[in-house]
Amino acid sequence: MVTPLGIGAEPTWQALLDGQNGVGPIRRFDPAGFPVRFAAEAPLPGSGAALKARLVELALGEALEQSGVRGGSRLGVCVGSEAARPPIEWLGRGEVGADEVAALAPDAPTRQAALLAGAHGPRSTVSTACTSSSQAIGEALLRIRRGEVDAMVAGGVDALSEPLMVVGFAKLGALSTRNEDPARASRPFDTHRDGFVLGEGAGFLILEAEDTARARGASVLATIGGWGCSCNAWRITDSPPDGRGAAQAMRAALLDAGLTPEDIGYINAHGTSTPQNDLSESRAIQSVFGALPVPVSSTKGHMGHLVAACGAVEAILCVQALRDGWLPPTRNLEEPDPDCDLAHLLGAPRRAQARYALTNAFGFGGSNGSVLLGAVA
Amino acid sequence: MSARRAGVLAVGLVTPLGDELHAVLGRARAGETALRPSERLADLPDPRAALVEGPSLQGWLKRKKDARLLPRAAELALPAAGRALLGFTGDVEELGLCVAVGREPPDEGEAEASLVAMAGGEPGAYVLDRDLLGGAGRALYPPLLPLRTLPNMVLAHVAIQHGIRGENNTWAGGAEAGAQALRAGLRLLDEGRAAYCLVGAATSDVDLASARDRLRLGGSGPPGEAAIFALLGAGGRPVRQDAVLFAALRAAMGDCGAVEGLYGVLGV
Repeated sequence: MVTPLGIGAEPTWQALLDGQNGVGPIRRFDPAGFPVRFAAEAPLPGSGAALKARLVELALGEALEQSGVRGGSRLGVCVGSEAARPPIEWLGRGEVGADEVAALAPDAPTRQAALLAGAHGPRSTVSTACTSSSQAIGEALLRIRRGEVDAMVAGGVDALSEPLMVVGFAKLGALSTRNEDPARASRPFDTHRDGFVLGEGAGFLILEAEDTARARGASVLATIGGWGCSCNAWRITDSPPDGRGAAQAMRAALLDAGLTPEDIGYINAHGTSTPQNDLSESRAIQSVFGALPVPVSSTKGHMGHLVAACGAVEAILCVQALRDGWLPPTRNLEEPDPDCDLAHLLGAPRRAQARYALTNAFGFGGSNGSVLLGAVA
Repeated sequence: MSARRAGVLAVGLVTPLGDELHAVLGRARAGETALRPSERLADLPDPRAALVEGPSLQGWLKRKKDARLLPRAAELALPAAGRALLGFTGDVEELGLCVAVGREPPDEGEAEASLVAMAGGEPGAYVLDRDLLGGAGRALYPPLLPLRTLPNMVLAHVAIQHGIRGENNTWAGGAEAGAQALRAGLRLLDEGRAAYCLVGAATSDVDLASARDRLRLGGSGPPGEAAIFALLGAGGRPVRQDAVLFAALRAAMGDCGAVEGLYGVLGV
């Protein structure tokens, strides 16, 4: 995994527990004059498709090495990704090569991942904005359950700190404009939240059928027991105030796993820090979990919104929380919005051994995904 | 896959050959073509494209003001999905939605506007000007462009217009994405994760920049735009692929990318 907090799953996890901040002034281009001049950028040089390719290379390389999984026809790939934007420098160029064009396609990271992993099994690309890599994990789970493959590479990548996206999302009013204090800009569920922070990163999980993983002596980090998905059918950028679509996805994940709300020990919320998402998600969690004080945090307070990559990155953070018995807090959540009345994790990480964790991802357009992970007994 | 069968209950389409299934198939089998020289591709060695006239969104859009939000592929998808759902009375929470799309570039006008927002000079000879985008150009930037070019906007608009709330997914890529959507829809039914599933594909990758990109990649014939949606339900006849039909449609409608993965359902 590569995030604004570090290169690698363990550095990111340690930075998260240490309360470090991944949001700062934009370095990818000169943002002078732009309405938003900060982002959560990955600690890597480059931009555009080349940056995404490097993110995939590093994040997937780490996952493959750790898993010990081998390529072949029983290994598939599903990646959540959006199309990369052509760099504006292309405007001044007469010729653009075929490789450069192909690298912009939404399925370019999928092709790259299949090559890196030596995966000859089924390959697909999910493009549902912020839900993309959550759905990629769901797709991988379903393929393994059906016996179509023994293992799947599932993950996502995104890199949105570039001029057109900053201007575009700012014009939509979706971004925080706290230019004077970027480190405190991403504040999910806080009364003074004013929008999300564009981020960059990649996360990959190697999912494998339990029998083949055990048979080859693999070290199993966590289990994925359930997957839920729904559609808001509401509006393009808004979530329904009652959170019905998000609640439907969480209930579906619980049902799929054969669990009840009482079984869940941690919720990694989508928690984007936009006024509307956080309110809608809070109501959804309230409707599913009622008065149960299930600890909730959004790790976007530390690292902004990784968009197509957030579902996979946050699933990995849940794996680490289940493995280590630490629940990360929501950074910058200083004054919880009374309308987002949840059992928030505030301040420092909390020592707690959860058996199951639920991680949410909700996208522009209304697709919702919930992944339910379990600790290894 | 298990042996449980899924039937194609209804099909809706919007194509350069028309929007009535049997008429479209008849024209394709008769060798009729919708490929015509297109002004927007005039600079290319082969300026032909298969474009859809219209379509009219009357009756397919709940709120007229939503029309400004629609990318071209969604304009094609709404009537196609609507026709596939005519008479559907099931539970919308039990209705899945699996959609395939292509690259989905911005519409011609918006692409031009976004260039003007960040570059000086003239079409064909733009000069990058970052200061423009950070300053006066910002006002020229189409505010809805990011949303209109997200691949899942076809799914979003179809779901919103028809109230579809079940499990869903958007598959991106070429013709294989359409087959992925179809396969995902069949799996939803097979596993009981949905009682019905609307599967479909829509693409309108027919602008000059995309056509140039296609040429750079080796090309696959002149481009087309279309949308095909099918309502699947458990039971009934299985979906089948029809290679002869595919060849006829390719010849008649150009390269319609993700939509081609759905040609098989037209044979039902």
